[in-house]
Amino acid sequence: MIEDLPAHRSGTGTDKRRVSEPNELIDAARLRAFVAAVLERLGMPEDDAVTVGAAFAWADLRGITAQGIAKLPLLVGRIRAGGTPAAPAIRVVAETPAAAVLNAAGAWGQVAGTRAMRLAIVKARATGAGIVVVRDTTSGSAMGWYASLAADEGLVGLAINDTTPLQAPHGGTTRVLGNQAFAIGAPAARCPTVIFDSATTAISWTGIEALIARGEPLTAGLALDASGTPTIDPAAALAGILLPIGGHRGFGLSLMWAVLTGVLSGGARFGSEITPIADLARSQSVSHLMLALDPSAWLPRERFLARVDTLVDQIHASPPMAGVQAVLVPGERAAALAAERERTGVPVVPELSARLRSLGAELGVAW
Amino acid sequence: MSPATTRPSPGRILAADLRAFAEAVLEALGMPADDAAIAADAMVYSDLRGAFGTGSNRLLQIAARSRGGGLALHADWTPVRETAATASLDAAGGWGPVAGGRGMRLAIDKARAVGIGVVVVRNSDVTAAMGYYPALAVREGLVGLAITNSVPLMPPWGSSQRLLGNQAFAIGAPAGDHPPLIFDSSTSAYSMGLMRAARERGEPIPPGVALGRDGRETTDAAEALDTLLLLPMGGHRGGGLAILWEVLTGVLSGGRTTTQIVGMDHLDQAMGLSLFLLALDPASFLPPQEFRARVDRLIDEVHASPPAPGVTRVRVPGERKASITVEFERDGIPIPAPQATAMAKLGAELGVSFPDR
Repeated sequence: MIEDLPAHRSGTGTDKRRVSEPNELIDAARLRAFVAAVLERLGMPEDDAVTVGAAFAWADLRGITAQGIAKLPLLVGRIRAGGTPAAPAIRVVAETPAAAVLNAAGAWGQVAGTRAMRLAIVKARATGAGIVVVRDTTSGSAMGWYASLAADEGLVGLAINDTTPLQAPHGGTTRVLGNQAFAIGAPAARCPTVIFDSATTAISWTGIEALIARGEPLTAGLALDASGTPTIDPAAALAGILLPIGGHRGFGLSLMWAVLTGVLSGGARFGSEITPIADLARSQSVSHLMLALDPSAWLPRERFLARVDTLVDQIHASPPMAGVQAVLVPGERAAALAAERERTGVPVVPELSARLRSLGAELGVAW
Repeated sequence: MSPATTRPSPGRILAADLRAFAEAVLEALGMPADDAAIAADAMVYSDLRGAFGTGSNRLLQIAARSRGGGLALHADWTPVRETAATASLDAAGGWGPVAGGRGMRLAIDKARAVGIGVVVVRNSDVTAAMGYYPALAVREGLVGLAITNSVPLMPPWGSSQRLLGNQAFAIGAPAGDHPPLIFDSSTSAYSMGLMRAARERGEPIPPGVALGRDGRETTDAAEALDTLLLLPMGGHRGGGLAILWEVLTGVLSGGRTTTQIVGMDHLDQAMGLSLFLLALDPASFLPPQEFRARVDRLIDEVHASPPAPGVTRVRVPGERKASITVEFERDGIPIPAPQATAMAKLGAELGVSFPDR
């Protein structure tokens, strides 16, 4: 049993919740299997259920707690309420040797997005570049997952999704765009895969929720309240509007990501029309873009991987500023945490493990 | 009279005249006519947007860099490697907008055939302005993305030692009734142009955009331009993007990376920049008219957002520049007098007369 282990406190900045009861430490393989079993009981095909389990575990291993198994009750709620079909007929509706459009027919984001990136990888292997745009799905959750699928195959991957509007245009005061999370991954030889995973807002909802839990205010310039007035009150920001990173720069990027996702996919909704994922009975109509590039179209594969290593080495060799321990590349801290958690297990807070245990009991799946 | 005038307003130069002058100067310097046409087109693109620093003013740099030996006026544009959707070009020290213009045209051809085209260029000279490359795709009804690396200007996040360029990039998309979207940016929090402007006006730069001599943040524009330690936009986020943009440019091209890149003031040395050029044909994804109509709808949504106090109008990327372009196309381009004088002098040396103003 693992209940007697001490509470796990991570130093990554993503698990900052203090709890009085100890966290459960769940083996990653068990976490994957639990998710897959629950989803299969709800009618999801085995392959897709396994994919979602793997994607949740990928996020949990890296401390991206909000995009991990904590999202399973939401997914189950959506399947039960009818907003997310468990076994939709995902179809390719347009295709060239290097490009495709997938109509996800409401499929959960990780099911559709993973399928899309896998198709992009196949196309990139054949033509050097593969791009697949998905319409009518839900939020892709941790976008780094898709970039890592490409990187694990020795390819460069880019993944973008649009989401529920929560961001104002630069100079504007209403929610027009999602936070347009995106990720880029590149494989290395010796060094860990470089995975850059970001949003285009200066702070994420998850980050604000963490501030609320700690009772801390926001830094100025990150958010507006619902009336469009700047605020440092995290609760007002959550009910209000997030601002883009770097002002007009983050907004411009966010807008172009909207063009490359919802506009380009031909999906039913884009921009401010996308519905919240918590609106369980409605399809969200999120769009994804998955791009894979095969470096061997440009360079011998080994040479590319060695060049990524050289870049990572240069970054590591940069002298840290006062107060900084080491200069890291994107994804490095998360990769170290994942290696540790593969050994020790993934910490699950007591409220969540109780919820998952009762969910499992309902469906005859042991937690 | 047609709305298009044939004579510029006083002190201005018609875009067509400026383009012809630039082409003639470049050919007189020894650049092949095809390449001179691309280089001149890129210069006039900048001038028409009021970005005079990356406009026809570049003729002076081309003359200096080609005479110094750093810039090659001839290059073999045959792809080094090629697939149905990709290609690799070696500019061999050739002028950036020529390399990038040719690269983007090749990407456009590939996108027309298979939906996407990605061309990576190595060993390029000066590459700015980035908006020009996606604009080429947009002219053809395609979406374009261009990224370049640069001489080191930014420390990696957490360090105070310069390593990465500011990694300028631009994305463009055609619209229907609205002007196209052209987002032209870099990964630094503040542009070099704004820093120079602040220094000239004796004004401070905002906090959080540059480090000073002691490795701590500075708001002194002159000090920031001396140290050239720019901070990334959005802290670690812009810093991470800058690293991945280096992967897609210098690393993937097989060319120079980070500290190997040479600044343009070293007239006798090749710079060794790389460009990543991507074109997407919307027609591979949905009917092109529908795509344009959807871009219009997105722009309308942005415009409909009530402006914050002190903001007169909420704009989309490229909108302000598009209105300048309309004026300059009609009335001519107000090239700053010192630049015009220097260009006229260069023209005279080469037997090319500067357009009437």
